Amino acid sequence: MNVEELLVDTFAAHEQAAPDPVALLRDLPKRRRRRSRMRMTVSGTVAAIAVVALGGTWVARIGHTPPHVTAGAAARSASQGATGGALAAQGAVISEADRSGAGDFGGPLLGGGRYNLADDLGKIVVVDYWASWCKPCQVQLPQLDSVYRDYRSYGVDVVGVDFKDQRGSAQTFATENDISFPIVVDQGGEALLGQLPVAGIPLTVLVDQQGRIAAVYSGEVAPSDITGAITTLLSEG
Amino acid sequence: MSVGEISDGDFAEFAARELGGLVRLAMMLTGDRELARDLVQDVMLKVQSRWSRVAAADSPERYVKTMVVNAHLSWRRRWSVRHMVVAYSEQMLDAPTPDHAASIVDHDDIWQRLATLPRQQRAVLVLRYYERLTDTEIAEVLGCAVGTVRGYASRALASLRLGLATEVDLAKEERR
Repeated sequence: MNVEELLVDTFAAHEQAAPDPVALLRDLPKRRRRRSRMRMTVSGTVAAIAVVALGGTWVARIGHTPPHVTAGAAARSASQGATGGALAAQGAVISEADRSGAGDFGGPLLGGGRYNLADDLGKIVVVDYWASWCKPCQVQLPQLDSVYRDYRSYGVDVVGVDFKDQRGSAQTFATENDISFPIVVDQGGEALLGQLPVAGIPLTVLVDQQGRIAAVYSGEVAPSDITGAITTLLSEG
Repeated sequence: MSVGEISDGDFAEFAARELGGLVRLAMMLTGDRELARDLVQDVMLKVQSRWSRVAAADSPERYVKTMVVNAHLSWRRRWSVRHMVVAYSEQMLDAPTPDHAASIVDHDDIWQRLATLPRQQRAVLVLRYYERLTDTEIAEVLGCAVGTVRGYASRALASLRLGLATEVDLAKEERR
């Protein structure tokens, strides 16, 4: 075997040693977070925010931060003199006094028909922005379905928002993973909850029984964190 | 800025599709798993920040692969700090001597020999024998003349042949 042939074989033999691209894909935003510093805005005004991600989210540059997307971070924001702009600690909820309305949220459903948040008033609604091309979402969506199955009898609804995705791909993913909760099709990225921008997915938002945004989690969130937040909201009555 | 301006969907699709090939290319260039990982991470952060420009390229895939190669070639400091090249492996000669001297030369040996090459030479070999690019395409990636590419390839192959020949001779000496 000559050197050229050996080289071809050698490169092929070492392909397996290459880093796992899926792990790298998930880790990339975390590294970006370390490199950039999130700037909190005052009163939700426009600010060029560096790309920030929590827990494996692809996040684009965003023009303004949520009016008050905070929970465990509320105290930190207050102490810093900011009224908002922080992302919630996973599992925490925003204090009732600081919650704002989720607005007239709704859209066409993947399986046909239409979803309107207003119809779920009185329920706790978990809204999950996802897409079939989003790796962390692929992990999270089936987990959310388990949450949905376990908690829907307690007055909890889960709604997926298929964000900037191809409808066929979303349908295939939902079918293959036996997703039972309704999924709003949002190819234009227009299905927003109040003033909350979708700067990256997965983005999970909890809406309380009064139709207010009670928690916003960017990136992968553990099912136990979601159920913990649901329990907190249920205890509010 | 509205949500509608987000273009990360396309970027994420691109990343999901191409990342495997990029990390493998980086692995071949660096010969080091961690370096490959860091290299691709750095490049992908740049790609994300200038995604509109990358997406507008004739071949975004080739554009980003070129970024990976160039990032590797300009990564002198981190490379020198983190990567120690083993010029000659004593372990290879300490290993049990096989029946045929030529069979000593396995993939790991070549892999180690590659680590002793200048990075431009290794990059040319990777692009030619792993990515299967033509010398003209390699010249475009490296931003140099085709003759330069052939020069790098020629010297790299000569070094490898020389190393392998020396090794085989030494193995024969050991067996006597």
